[in-house]
Amino acid sequence: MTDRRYLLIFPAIILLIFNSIFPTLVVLNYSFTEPFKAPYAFEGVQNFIDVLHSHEWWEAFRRNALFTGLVLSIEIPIGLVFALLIRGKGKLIDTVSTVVILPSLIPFVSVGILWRLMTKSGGPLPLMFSWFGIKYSLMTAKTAFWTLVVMDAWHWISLVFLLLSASLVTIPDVYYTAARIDGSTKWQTFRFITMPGIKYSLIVVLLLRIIDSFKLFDENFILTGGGPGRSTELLSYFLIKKGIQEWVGGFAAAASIIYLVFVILLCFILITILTKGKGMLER
Amino acid sequence: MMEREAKHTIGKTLKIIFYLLVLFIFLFPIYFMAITALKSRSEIETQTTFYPKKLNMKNFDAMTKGPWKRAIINSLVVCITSVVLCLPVSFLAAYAFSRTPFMGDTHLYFWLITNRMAPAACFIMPFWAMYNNIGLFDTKWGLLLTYTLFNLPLSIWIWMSFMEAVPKEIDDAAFLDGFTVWRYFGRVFIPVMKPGLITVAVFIWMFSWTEMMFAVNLTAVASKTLPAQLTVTVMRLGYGVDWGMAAAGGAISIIPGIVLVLFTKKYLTRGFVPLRRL
Repeated sequence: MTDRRYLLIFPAIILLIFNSIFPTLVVLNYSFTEPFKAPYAFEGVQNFIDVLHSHEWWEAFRRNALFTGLVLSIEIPIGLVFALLIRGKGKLIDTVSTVVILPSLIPFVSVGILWRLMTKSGGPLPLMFSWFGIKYSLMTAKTAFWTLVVMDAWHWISLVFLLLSASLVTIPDVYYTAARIDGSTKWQTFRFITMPGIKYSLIVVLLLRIIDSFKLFDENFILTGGGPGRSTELLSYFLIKKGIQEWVGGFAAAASIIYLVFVILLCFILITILTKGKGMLER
Repeated sequence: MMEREAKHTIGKTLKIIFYLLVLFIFLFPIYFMAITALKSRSEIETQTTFYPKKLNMKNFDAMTKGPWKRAIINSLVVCITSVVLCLPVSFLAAYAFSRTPFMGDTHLYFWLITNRMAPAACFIMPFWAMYNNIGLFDTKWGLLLTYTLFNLPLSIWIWMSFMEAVPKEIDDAAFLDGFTVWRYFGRVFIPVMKPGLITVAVFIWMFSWTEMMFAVNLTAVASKTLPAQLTVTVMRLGYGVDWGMAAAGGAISIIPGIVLVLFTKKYLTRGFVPLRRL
């Protein structure tokens, strides 16, 4: 029998060609023109030059990079600590771990609404801050940005926890017993037994979180709407605003291409480093 | 000895305090949203209360009528059809990737995964233009199709991790015995893959249930999903936020997540274990 099982990828590939290649070509076409204006005009690379000279674009980019850095440095350690502390058997532990996973299954919009309720004037958060004599308001740029960070952490610690605790279970107990008998310290146990066991999950979760925080849109849209001013406008929000609300299609398309290339490059570099150049299909 | 025991109890108490704190942090916002939905409008706008003074079912009543009812039904339809469409398609593709090496497979696989990573915002404008031209704008079919862009890569990725755990020799033995591929799937492979099936289905469902960006920009009235409908409450120009409705809709949107986490937690945690291969 000749092996023709590879033909089975075709349904997926056909769907993705319609969904991915085709739109990419459309954006590419837009990026060299001014699509929403009546006479069709080829503008060459003018749109790309505009984007790269745009102060707004670089601001959004820098803000998003800062956001990603902050979010990662909060979520990964806390998620790891949660995964290490919330394990074992028992009703309480079971409940706690279920509750920690829960946020990752809540729609982004609802997370946004949840936090808007928490932070609206007269909501619980401003109330709690006022106990300490701090005035809390989403109307100041810094507070809005930090609220966005905290909200994202609240939402996605669940994913870090889920992936890490799933891989912690796979480390055989025998290793820990052996380590105890050999008298290794807690740090040594963590460093030489736990760490290697969860390394791959850590890599996956890092990859997912970096990429996802670079494309965050929904909560940004709901919680702050990019405001006050433009102080919480992340890349995706910037794109949607330009393309769908301000109708500068060519500019938005060029920005999309740059953004897309950046994310895919980032993804490629991360995967290459993390898999040590072996690629994702390791046989 | 006594000292050690005391230390032990202190440790245990600290741990329980930590657990309770975690429970509070993650449950309080959800609780607050649920009770906000039950408050009367004046109570929401004028004071901060941690339980409703008088139960007000108006918001939840509104959920069973008009645009909200339609939005919930639309969401359910899109989710179910997504699962029905993506589950078999991703299954076949993942099987091909995990069993047969072919030319350029790593590159193809990487491209596939980048579709999961690509920022959705880049695709809004072209989809918007395309769908307006071919009449898919504001249809459930259109939404369903765009969702496959993100559902397929992730599903294939998760499928792969499950499939790699099954030795290829089983396949070969079955084919030597004269099984066709389809018969092998039906009799042997799919029954073995049951945990994978559940995990992938949950992930497809959750993505389709939570997706908002496409739902907002590619629908107008008839096929708004629940997340898209929810944005309406927050974005009413000139009216301020309709807190009661937003909270009620938000509370309803959480229900599938709670149900899924209760019934499939075992699979969710297991589903990611073999992902160690990346």
